[in-house]
Amino acid sequence: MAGHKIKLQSNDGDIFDVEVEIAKLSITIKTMLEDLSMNEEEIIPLPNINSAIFKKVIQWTTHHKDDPPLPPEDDENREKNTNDISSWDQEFLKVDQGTLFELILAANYLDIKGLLDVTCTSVANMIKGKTSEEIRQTFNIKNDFTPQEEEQIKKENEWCENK
Amino acid sequence: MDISKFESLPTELWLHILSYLSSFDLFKAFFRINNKRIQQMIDSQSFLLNTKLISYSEMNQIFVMHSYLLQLRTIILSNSCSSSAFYNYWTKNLPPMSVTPKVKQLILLNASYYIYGLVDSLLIPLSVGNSLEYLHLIFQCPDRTYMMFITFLIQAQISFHTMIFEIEKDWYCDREVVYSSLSELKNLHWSSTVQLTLTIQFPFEMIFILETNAIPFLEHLYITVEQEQLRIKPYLDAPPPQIQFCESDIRQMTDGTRLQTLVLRHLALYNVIILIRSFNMPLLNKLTLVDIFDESYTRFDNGS
Repeated sequence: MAGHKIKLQSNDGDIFDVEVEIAKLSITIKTMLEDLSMNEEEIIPLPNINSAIFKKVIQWTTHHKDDPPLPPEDDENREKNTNDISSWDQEFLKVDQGTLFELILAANYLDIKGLLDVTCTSVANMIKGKTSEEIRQTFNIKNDFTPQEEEQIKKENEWCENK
Repeated sequence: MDISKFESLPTELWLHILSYLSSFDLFKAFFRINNKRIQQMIDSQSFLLNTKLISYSEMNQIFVMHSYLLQLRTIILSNSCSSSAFYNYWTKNLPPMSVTPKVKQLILLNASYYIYGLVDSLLIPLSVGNSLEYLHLIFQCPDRTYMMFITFLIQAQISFHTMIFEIEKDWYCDREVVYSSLSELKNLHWSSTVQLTLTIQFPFEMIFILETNAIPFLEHLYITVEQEQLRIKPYLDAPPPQIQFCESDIRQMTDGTRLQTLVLRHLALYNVIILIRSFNMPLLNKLTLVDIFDESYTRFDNGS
């Protein structure tokens, strides 16, 4: 029913009134409402999402509520296109890395495929073309190899590179 | 950002992100990352190199990334400059198996482009190590180069678990072309092939494919017949065939005891009936017939 709202509660206690049709873009919430027969008057808790991230999720789902369904995944040998992020989504994703990864986790928990795809694509674009050292700096990835393991890898690579 | 945030993503989300990257970008980004969890994820990836999507400058980088080449499982070649450069590198410098020891799938999008030298320079060496399992060749039409390629493979007795000879555009006898023949099929011996997709000229050639010991482990067969309706004399440039697509020859010569899947395209109904009545396929669980036609109507239409 258009305009009908449900109440969703973030893990820091804020309650959001969200249109049912928009909330149902989340398969997780849709399942709660339909399969688990949750009453629309009840407050639905979302224990894995804080208010700031949930506001962003609502912003994204509101903008994309009339999008056509995504096509099914096809050929595994086909490379996915990382250039088709809409200008609205590009603007939406101009956030710090922490927020971006929180959005990925939220999209995964709420099962919103479109949001998950666009956030993961955005991270993939950040990785594309970079060397390992640049990746390490960009994402603060720590080197957890022991000196012995590093030496071993170096030797193996030398063998390859000298072929 | 919390330092651990990126690394703390669950593996399923990591893999989802990685699925948006080409194997080249993936390798370049994480090859020397020296992080055990990431290293495990990278090692678990099935590396695919689609040379059609790689620029020439990136291809030149690949040539010095031997560790990357060692990881490749699937290679797709086309007729692009990068593809040609990779093909030359692959076949000219070292034995192909030492450059790409893990390659299991080879796909050629414009197979005619590589017709000369492909068998000797690439497929024979790749068949030696038993690494390559899947060969998929795409031809624009079943023309002379297609027939030549089949002949080269038969003569070299090179076969792989799955061999797909795909034709993008069927001719289906809309023009009378005298093909170079597939007479070499009578010497067919592909001992490794379990799944085969092939376009042949005449129905009787199916007997060569199904002949006892020709493809002894064949389980899945997809056949298109090009010349079913064309009344030209077969094998104009070779001795006439000594067999016919008839019940007695099929019974005496063929063996379908391993066959589980049979897909036939563009065959006359009476030939389908002949095959079903005479060909023993005890394990068959899927028979698909496509573009089957009743030739009596064709004769009636032609007034003959």
